[in-house]
Amino acid sequence: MKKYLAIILTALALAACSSNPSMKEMTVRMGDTDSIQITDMRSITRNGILTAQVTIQNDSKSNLVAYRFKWLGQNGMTVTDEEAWKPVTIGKGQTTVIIGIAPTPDATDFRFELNQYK
Amino acid sequence: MKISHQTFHLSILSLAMGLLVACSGPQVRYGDAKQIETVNADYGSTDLQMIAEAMTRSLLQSKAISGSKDAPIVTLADVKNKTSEYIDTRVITDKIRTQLLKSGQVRFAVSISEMQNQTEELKRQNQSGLYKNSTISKTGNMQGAQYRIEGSIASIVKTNKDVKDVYYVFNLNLINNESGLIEWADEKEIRKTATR
Repeated sequence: MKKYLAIILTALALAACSSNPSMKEMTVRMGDTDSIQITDMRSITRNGILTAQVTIQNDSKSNLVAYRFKWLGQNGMTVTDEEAWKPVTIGKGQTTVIIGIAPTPDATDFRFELNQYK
Repeated sequence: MKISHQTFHLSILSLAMGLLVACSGPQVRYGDAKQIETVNADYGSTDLQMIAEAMTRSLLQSKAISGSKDAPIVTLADVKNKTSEYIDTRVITDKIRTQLLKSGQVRFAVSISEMQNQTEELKRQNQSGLYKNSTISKTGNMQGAQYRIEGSIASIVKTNKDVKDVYYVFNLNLINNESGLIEWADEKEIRKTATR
């Protein structure tokens, strides 16, 4: 029993220590985008430029959503002005992989913004 | 009699209201320049922004740009408009150039269209005899571009009485001026459908 308690406590401590924000924290939703689920989010530095990959899934009928990335550098400052909203059509049950490439090598982190598009 | 008097007053009032509404001009609002524009299926601001962004980001990540020690010198060449619409392709390339320059990874040499101003300025400084010799920008020191950027935009448009379907494909190449090799190429596809 004590052993289990120790394991649980260690796990909790580790979870509290990790500073990486969750997928939910990295997503900014605007408008009615509840039917869109973010199933995966990852990033890699390729040739010195941060590349992000977000997988989204649509649970409701054919939906039009718009997305953009916000690229953050040192101290959480945005590296450039805001990106243009990009439309994506995603059918019911469909999963789409969205790839974003940072505009400058200064970007070290990103946020994924999702918006409803009429 | 009284009722008709009241109706008369009401009708005058509504007429005056109607005139007032008709006289007031259109409502003006500032919008978000980054917003998705879907007024019709023609080439629009969202297409321009999407194309420029996709091309810039892809180019920045290419080996030719990211792999070189100091920022390579690039120049803008033509983007041919092969669509049936009027598209100012210079706006697309200018946007790509601005975004690339802001990244600090690339330097740009003046393009053919800007060459006139460049030579005129050099002539003015060197040939007019008006300037102090030590401050003159000397001729023969311009830097040649290592690469040039050129491409094309094409479209396929299909219509019937209810639907208009437009497909754009934008193609961009980075060409090594000395070797003539295409070092990088990418394309951006856009589909738009307008239904009645």
